Amino acid sequence: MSDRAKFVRELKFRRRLVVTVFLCGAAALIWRAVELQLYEREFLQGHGDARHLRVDQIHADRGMILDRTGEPLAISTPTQSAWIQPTEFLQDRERWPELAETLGISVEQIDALVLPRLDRKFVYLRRHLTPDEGAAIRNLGLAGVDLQQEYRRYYPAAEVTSHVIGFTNVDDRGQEGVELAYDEHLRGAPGLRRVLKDRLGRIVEDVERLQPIRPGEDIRLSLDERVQYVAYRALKNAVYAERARAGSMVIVDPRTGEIIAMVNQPSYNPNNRVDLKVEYFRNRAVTDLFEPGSTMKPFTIAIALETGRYQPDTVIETAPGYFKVGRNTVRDIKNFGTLDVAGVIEKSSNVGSSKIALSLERETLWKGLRRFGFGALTDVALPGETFGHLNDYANWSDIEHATLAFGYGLSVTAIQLARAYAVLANDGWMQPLSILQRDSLPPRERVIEAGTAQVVRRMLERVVTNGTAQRAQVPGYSVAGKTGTVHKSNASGYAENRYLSLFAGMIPASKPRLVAVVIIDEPMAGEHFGGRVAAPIFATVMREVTRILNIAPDAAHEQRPAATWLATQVVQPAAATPR
Amino acid sequence: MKLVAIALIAGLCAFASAIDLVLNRHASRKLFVELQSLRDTRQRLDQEWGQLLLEQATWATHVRIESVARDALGMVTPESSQVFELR
Repeated sequence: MSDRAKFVRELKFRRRLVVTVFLCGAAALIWRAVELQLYEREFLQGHGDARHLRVDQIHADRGMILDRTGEPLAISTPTQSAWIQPTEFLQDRERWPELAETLGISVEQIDALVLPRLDRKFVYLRRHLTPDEGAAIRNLGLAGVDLQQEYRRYYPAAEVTSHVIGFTNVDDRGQEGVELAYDEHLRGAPGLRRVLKDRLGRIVEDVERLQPIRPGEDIRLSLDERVQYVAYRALKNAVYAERARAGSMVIVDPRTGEIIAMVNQPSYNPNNRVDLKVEYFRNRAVTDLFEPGSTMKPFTIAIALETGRYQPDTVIETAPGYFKVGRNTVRDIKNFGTLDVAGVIEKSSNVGSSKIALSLERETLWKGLRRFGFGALTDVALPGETFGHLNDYANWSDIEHATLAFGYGLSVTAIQLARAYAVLANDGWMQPLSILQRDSLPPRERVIEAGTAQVVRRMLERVVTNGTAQRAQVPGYSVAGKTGTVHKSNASGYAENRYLSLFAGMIPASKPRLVAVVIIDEPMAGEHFGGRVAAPIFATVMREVTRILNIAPDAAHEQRPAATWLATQVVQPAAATPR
Repeated sequence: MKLVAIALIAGLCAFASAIDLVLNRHASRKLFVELQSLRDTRQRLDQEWGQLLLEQATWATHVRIESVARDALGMVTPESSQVFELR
């Protein structure tokens, strides 16, 4: 064997060795790949997903609340909330004083917040920061302090619309008013998606949609913010001037049933609700019951006219100004003598209306009042509406039968009374009320004949021109309405010196466009008659509202003829400015 | 010989398609990042719009308008005798 042959064999051996080693290596790699792909796949995939796959929530903005002209009444805007992770936060303790200074609180307050909650992973430091505070906290860069995007509701019209709109809590859930009633609608539903995030937490891929986002929808109310403001200002001034306990005013469009304005006193600013009494939150026009008093009389008369047994000129004897019903006495404020039906309304005679009511079947009267909506809820979906009381006629005593005629022994809310007056205004049709703007009208119901409604309206017009409600007159317009002055009842009966001043009216009387109910609760400044306290508020408001809503005047009032006025407006050629 | 050629071409195709996949994947990520940033922009603009709306509503509060009209501009509501109807 030569050296060369030995060398060649040696080389062959080396080659095989190398090849074998490589093959082994390759086999090992392939095996590992197979193992990873096939046997450990689930485990690895699971861990990978756990590190990079995240379920991401897509925030659904809360819808806006708009008035009928599109003015925003409630808008959500983003704010930031600061939260801390207590254990991490504790490491930076020497810098707490800086944070305390930024937030305007003491270090002890931070201690008190953090130390008892060390076992938690998430503690709110402060919610709804101002943008400046948010930036300041970010700049501090403390460990364990982080900012989170949240949303806050703002109400541009503030206390003018607060009772209708309500408000949301810190978690953006509706608590009162429309915010509560239409919470689902406004809130929408957040979307959920599965995403792939990279090492830095950036989303790199949308993997799947788990739940589609449903953004909150806007709500368009029937309110007109301009009318609302005028009504609010007038009511507030009146409640202040009369030193009254409270007040409400509701304005309704009788043709559509839409509520154009609804205001109450006392009110509150929904943007800043610190130190407020819960009673301020109450939407009195919807929740508070009262006896309607004389504002009830038109309905008694309307029902009597419908029976055909009475005509507007049917004569009623009210002398001597009182009469006995069983052991009780019904009184007028003075002896009105002989009146016709229209005169009973104009003078607001309790005796006259009781006599008319007593001559009607109990069932007829009760059914008639029910048809006007007394004792029933309206269709306005505002929280806390109270049922009015109207006892079943089977349980009426004689005196109840008599007093119902002038509005004692039953109770209503302001919107229920407004709905009943809207029937008189809308030629006997009852249009369900609504706080939302209507695109189309829901089915309406015939309550009384159109002719009867017009006759009662003319009687109510006389109340304003000659009767108790002269202060409700609006220049240029015919007004129909009725005043009421109600003794407030308490546990022991009717309180002597506590009154409710009421006025319910419509404008223009010939073809009513608006119906309004005004209530002043316990006026203490000397006057308490509805004609003196409540009626002027109607006039003040309507003077402006007719202009705002462009309601054409229907009554002639003394004025220079338009031609004369135009003559004074002729522009001299020299002064004319070319366009 | 023929078989080898086919295998070779198939291999090349597989390789090319693999590279293409990677490129497409990359392009898709880039586009996704862009989409994401556009969405963010849209949200930011939405929010800004909301804030501007709010600001506008605050400037246009009736209380403010009324006080500007009455006090700063000296405007008054005309008496009914000063109002003329043109029909």
